Amino acid sequence: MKKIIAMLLALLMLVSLMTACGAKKEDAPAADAPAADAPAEAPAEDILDTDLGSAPVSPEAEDAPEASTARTDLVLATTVPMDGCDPHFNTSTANGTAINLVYETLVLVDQQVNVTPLLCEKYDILEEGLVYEYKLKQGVKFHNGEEMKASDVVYSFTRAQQAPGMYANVALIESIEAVDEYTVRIKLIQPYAPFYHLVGNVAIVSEKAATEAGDAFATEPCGTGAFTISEWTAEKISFTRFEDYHGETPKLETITVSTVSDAATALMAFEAGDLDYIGVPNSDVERLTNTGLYNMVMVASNNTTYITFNNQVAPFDDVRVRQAIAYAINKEEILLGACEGYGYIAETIGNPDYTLGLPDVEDVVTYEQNLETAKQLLAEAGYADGLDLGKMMVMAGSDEFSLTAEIMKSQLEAVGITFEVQLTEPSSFVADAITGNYGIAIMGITLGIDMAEHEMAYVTAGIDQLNLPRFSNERVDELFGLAMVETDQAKRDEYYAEVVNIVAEQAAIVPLSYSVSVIAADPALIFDPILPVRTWYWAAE
Amino acid sequence: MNNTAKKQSQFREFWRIFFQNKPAVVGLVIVILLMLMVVFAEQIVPEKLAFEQHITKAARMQPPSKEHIFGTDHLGRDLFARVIHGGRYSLTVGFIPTIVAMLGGMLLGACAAYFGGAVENLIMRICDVFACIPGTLLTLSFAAVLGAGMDNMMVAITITAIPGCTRFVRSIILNIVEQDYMEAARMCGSSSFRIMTRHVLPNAMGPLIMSTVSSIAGMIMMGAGLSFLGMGVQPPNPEWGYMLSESRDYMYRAPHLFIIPGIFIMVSILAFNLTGDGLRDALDPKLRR
Repeated sequence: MKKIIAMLLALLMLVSLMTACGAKKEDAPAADAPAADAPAEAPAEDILDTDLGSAPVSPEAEDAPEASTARTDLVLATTVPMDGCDPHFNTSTANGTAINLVYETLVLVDQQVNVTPLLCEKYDILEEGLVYEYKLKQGVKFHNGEEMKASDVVYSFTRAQQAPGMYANVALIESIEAVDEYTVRIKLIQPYAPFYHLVGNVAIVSEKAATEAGDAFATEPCGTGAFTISEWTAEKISFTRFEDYHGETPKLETITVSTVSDAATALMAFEAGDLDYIGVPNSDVERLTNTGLYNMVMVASNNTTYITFNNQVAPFDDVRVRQAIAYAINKEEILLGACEGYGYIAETIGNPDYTLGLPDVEDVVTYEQNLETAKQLLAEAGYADGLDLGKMMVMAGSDEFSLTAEIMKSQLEAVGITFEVQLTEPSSFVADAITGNYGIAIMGITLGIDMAEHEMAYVTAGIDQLNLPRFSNERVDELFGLAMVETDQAKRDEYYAEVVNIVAEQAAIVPLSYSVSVIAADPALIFDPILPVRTWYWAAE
Repeated sequence: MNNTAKKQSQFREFWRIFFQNKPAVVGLVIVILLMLMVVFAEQIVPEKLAFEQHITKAARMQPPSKEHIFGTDHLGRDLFARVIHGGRYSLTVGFIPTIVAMLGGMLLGACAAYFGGAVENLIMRICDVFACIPGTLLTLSFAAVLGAGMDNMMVAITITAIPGCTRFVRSIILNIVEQDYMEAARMCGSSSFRIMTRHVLPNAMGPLIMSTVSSIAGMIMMGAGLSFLGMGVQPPNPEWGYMLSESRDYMYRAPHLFIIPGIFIMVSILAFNLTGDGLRDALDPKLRR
């Protein structure tokens, strides 16, 4: 029961802030080390192209100007107020910005799953993948002035083991011990290949501060990050540079995240110059680009919009019905109509560019729109005279999802399939999706950056958890087991490719698009959405 | 015979005053045109055009042109067809709840006014309770409880409107009951039923019709508002209020998407209001000189 609640919480966090095409990404960027709730907060964003607006600027492009005239403050906005800054017991994706500024992890993981040491000097994988040994960086100061020691790392991982949202990252840890003041050894229950980067999801907190603060730790955070929280009100959170930061001193001195609950209001504030950086709703991208006043950057992500069927209930338990729906759909039209074309056609859950182990789109079984095939499949399934799917569950609060439903309605009517849209609030949507209390639904999800983290979304054991389509296939279960202990990535890729193709052949789900969010920023702000906010700076005027 | 002549002249007098009122006549003409538009919608433009999507860059959000008089919307559907067929939803929401609420109000109001005492107390106190809650909020709550959808929305609007109608009907009837001819009717020994049907209702009819016509405008507005909020007519059905809601995101790029349905809502509400005002003026004896 506890586990189910844990999964529910984790999933709620996953889906609650996701919309089909990233329209809600107006929230301040979650670009630093993925400290919050593991998979959702993975730094799944990358610059795709920057030719949207004025000349693109990137940190590498020019030398950091040593100018006294450059601004040192940054003002961002979030549509959901931040209500805590606890990296382990986090319940809201919105808190990611604060967590990522205040806390750091042992290693930094980028979108290509490259792991670089951050709080450690180096790490070694011993005993054939069973033991991980981390040599900590010396002289790293917490915000309370204490030095980070091995005991803090042990405490942090032990604390994470009690947090439901951290489950996927620490589930396979058997023991963790401090060998000496600056060495930590983590022993796993069994070899688990993805562990080397999952470590990057566990933030290191100060043991002293955490035990002293107790329940108040969420509002009195103490990490090793480059920024500390200086002011926290309902309207805004202010961050101030941490002068004893162990890494390169950030050029920004203060970062303010103000709460603007309405996306349209936030956009107006941005255009009025009150905000420096904002995620732009798709429908406004063209207009903002045309003003030529802003630096527009497109950021792709792992977030996937897809149709999920409850594979256990009629008529969706018939593979022909699922395939017919897949054949009846035109993904290009949905992408253009619902997302203004900002996104990519998806064939898998998770963008292959940002997910370790996912085969490229060309290597996956796909369904090109073909109404004749769809009709034929329906006829074979016994629905030649039409089929009423009943209610289509659509998450409320996102125009993209409801537009997708509206377009799909018209596309499916062409093959005689009808349905009724049922807008559902996010919390009940997630509960219904997990317990299988639905037939067909449109939703968006961001899974981890490694296929290994997707396991629960596909295997039989994941039913009533992340396996929302309630898909069960013996071979898929077996493949995940094989991949889990395999350390050769090429072999793992093969296993995962087979999984993805089985799922695609069975049309257990119909992936629609990978979302892309468009960011507008003050042209003087030199930033890279995939890099931590602390590395951003202003050009001299 | 004499009686019939009197009635006819009264009727003629009524229309004479009405037709002197230019805005009212304009309003009536627009109302008639709107009704014709709704009745002959299929002949003006086939309904399927209102639902046919053409999702390509070129076909979406076209400005008004020869092929598409009002342009196309964000899913490439013909806006003219959507507006014309959308009128059916808007006017239905205007008429049906008004009429049902008026009938309900007449029944309850007449009972309250005629019987008085405990019956009046019970009915009027319930109405008072309803009157304490802002109308829009009340409708929204009912719509939320009943669930989204055109039928449920009409039920919600009707329930909210009944208390107001009841109070209105009661006040009119109380007024009539005090008239001398009522006294006369009673002295002649007429039965309650006869007094009700022959004396009270005919005299109350004028103000009732006037109020009905005027409140249609409010109902259309309420329906559009609820649909805008997603509580009313469900997509892809082209109700005017819902069309406003779905064009919100494209305000800057394709202003015609919300201007056109907006104009239709505005004009129809104005027309019903003008007609209602004209009827009121024509019915008011003080203006008959």
